[in-house]
Amino acid sequence: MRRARAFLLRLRNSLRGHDTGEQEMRNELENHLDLYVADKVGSGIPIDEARRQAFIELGGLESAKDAMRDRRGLPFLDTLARDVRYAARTLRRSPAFTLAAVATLALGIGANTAVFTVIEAVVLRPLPYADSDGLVWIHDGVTQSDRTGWPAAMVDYLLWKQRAKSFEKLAAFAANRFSLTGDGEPEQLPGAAVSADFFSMLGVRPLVGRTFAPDEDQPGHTPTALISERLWERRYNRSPNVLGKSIVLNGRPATVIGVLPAGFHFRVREADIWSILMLEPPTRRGPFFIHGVAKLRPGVTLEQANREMDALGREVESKDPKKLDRLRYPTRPLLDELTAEVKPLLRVIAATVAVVLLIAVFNVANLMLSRAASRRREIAIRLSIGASRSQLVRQMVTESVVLSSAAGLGGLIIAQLALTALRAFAPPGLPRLEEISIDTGVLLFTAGVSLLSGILFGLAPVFAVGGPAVATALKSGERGSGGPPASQRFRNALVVAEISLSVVLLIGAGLLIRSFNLLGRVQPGFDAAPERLLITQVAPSGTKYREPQQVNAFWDDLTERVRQTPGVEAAAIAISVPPDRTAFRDEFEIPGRTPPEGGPPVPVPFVSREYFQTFGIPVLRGRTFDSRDTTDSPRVTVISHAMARRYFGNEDPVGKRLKHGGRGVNNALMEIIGVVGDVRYLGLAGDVHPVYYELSAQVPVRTMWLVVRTRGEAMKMLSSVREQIRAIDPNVPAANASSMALAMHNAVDLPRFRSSLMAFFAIIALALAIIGVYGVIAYSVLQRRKEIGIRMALGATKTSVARMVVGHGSRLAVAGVLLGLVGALAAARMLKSMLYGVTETDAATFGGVAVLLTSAALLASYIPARRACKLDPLTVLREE
Amino acid sequence: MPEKTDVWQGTLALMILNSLQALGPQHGYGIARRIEQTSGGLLVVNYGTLYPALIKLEQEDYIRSEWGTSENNRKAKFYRITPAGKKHLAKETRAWEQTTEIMSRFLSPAKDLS
Repeated sequence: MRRARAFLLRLRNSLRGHDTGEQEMRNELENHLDLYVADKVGSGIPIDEARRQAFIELGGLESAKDAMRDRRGLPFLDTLARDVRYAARTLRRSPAFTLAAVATLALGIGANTAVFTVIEAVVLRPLPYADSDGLVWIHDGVTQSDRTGWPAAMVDYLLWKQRAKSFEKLAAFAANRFSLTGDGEPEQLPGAAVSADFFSMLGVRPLVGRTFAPDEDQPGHTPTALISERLWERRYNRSPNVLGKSIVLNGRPATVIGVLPAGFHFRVREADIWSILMLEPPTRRGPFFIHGVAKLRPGVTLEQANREMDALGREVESKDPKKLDRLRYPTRPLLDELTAEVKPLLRVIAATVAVVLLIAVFNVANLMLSRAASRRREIAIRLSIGASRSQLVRQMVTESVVLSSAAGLGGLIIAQLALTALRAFAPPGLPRLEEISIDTGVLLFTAGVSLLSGILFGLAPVFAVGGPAVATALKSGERGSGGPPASQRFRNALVVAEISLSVVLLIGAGLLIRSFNLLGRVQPGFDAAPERLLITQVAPSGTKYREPQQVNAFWDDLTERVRQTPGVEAAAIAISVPPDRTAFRDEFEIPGRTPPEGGPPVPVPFVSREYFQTFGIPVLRGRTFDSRDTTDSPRVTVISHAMARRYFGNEDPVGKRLKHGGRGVNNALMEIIGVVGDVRYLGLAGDVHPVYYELSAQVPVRTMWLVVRTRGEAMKMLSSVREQIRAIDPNVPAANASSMALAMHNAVDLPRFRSSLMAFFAIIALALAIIGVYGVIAYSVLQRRKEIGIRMALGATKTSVARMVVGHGSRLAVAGVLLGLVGALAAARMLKSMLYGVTETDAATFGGVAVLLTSAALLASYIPARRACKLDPLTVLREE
Repeated sequence: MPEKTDVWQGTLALMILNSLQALGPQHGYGIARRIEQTSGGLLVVNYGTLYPALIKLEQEDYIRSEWGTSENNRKAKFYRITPAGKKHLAKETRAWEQTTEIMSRFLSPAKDLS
């Protein structure tokens, strides 16, 4: 306790400064001296002798003052403050160097800070719900498919609810789009349907009103819903009247019972509607749209829960082993589920920016070395007046830390800008985007990284020549023979390292860019020009569209009107459109086979008759839907090429039967009337999925995409199309309008984002490395001026001099590139999951980068080479 | 005569406290004089060690200082022991006494230990 008090007093004194203290100290000491001398004189010793004895016995006045000063304040702080002031002065004197170093480092530190912020917010921080580490995500794992994480069915959810003992709480979650009508302008809004205990499980409190009551999801209740604060403000002006308001969601009435605070989010970006999910008893196994969100019972581990769910899955499977082969209910921690897809990319980016920072640090280290050499006179003077080697090193490190701290501040600003841009751009695969912000953890990280970088390149001269020799090396300078060879070798090593690191990054970027290009060239499967295809989601809802014939009438009316509009070539409706807008998946069964064959859920687009013609999808066999097929005629289906091949082989599927939805009482048996070309509905990557189409008239649905093939540019027709919709019913919202070209562009958003990001950093790395090469070669030429002069005087030609210089550069380049290629072979493995169409050892990319970097390095050597040629031997030799 | 030795740091603090307790408020020179006298002239108090020790004791709140006038009519800083200082001195004195007793048993010629 007393020591703490003493320390704090010393700290205060140190920060306050020493002026008053100095005066007091001098008074005390002089007083002591006077009294001592007086005593001695009093006992008969002459005053001069007394004084002499005083100095011997008492010690020096100044050193006493020093000892007192050290005790009063904190000498460590004082030295630090002094070093920092000195460092700031020196840096101010060479603004070019300081600016270059700070800028380079700020970029590197900023990038690392930004990436760390993202990683911290998305992967490391616990989810913002109550007891979030007990939260798990449950889905259907029918492992025949190439993807796990398929949504489960109501049947599954009810089974879990009834039987699963591992969970304290279990809720159902189904992301959805809602068309809001019934009070004013119709709108389409993102959101989700959840069961009654969802919000209480997450510990979410409403801003106003209440959340769902425990039984509100049982049939017989009027559906209820909560809205977001954002919607409350925008549409209802924050009026308290919204509570109890009756709205219409997707055609069904619902009562608003509460408003959720703006800070709440769960998987759906900018969700505005959270409606109750009514647990209606299912008539068959599908459709598949539910995920389970549950909280583990205290004491139950994830493994135990998985074992129980596994057993349940096996039990269900045993009832229908062929179809439900290997049905399981995989249960994962919610945080893992959210971040699994994005983690590989984050890992790659984190490694990339760390490498960029390393290259920046190396560059600045090289700069520091040059600077140290040019300060040799100053260093020599300091050594001669008694500075120790450790003091010199400490001074240099302080200087670098001052530099890197300034760079750290700059880096924070850069990071903030980058994060703002990220939030604006909102890449689709990034979860928890709302939570990304700079907090104290990030600030500590930035401080740590800045400090570490500063120390690293501050110690560069020490590394360059080895500890004790620093002082002598710095003092003797590097004139004449090109400097102490150790220092030159160290610089060369730094540059070679830089080159190899940028080779690795460039290869990574190259592989991702090639993947992105190849992905962009994947054919979605239709022939119509994408920029002349307009798509928009239309959702008639409300009492007018209760009956199936009303719905069909609406669609027929709409498509007919749109078709008549000038500028339109064709129009159709569909529940799912390429390349990745799939609303609905279902199972199927092919009867009449022993054993009966079925398949996992596949996209099942409900389309109108003109769909295939509008898109230009080739008809391979039989026919597609036409006027023969109506609501009353037998159910028909058109299957895709992949489906025909996988399930019918060489047989002609036309005329055979297909049962949709798998086993179940009400499932219709459909006749296959034709086979069409493959169209992608689940994204451009991966294999094409089998698909079977149903006629929308036979399965009327109230939210559909309207597809319009236009003569001119698609988006230009949007307002006319909207007119037609409004003409039929102004209460029908139309949303998500875009051209097919834009949809395809967006389908590769994530690969585009990935490759752009990598390319950005790789180019920075390349630029830094080339600057590094230039710096080292130029400096080497500068140092070897005398040698070059002598050579030229002795008869060397300009060409041979140039060759010498460029030779230096090429040696660095070759070493760096070779090292980099080896490193890339190891590192490219990190990219495996993100590549498409190229392997991670793609020779073309490796070769291309090698050539690029070597030529760039040679180019960088060219300028100093020219300068070397221009040297006049006489002038050089006459220099001192 | 044995060499005059420099006073050790840790014990200097106790000597200062002891002196202040005996003398009452005193300035630095007075304390130094007293220590030298008490040691029978065997210890030399270098003011490079005395004054830092005084600063430390003041920071630890074992002594307090105030400005007064010394014998030669100059402004001087007078130090005074605090109650906490007295307690600390008593505790450390007991500890020293115990140490010296143990050590003397070991270091003196073998006596009858019964």
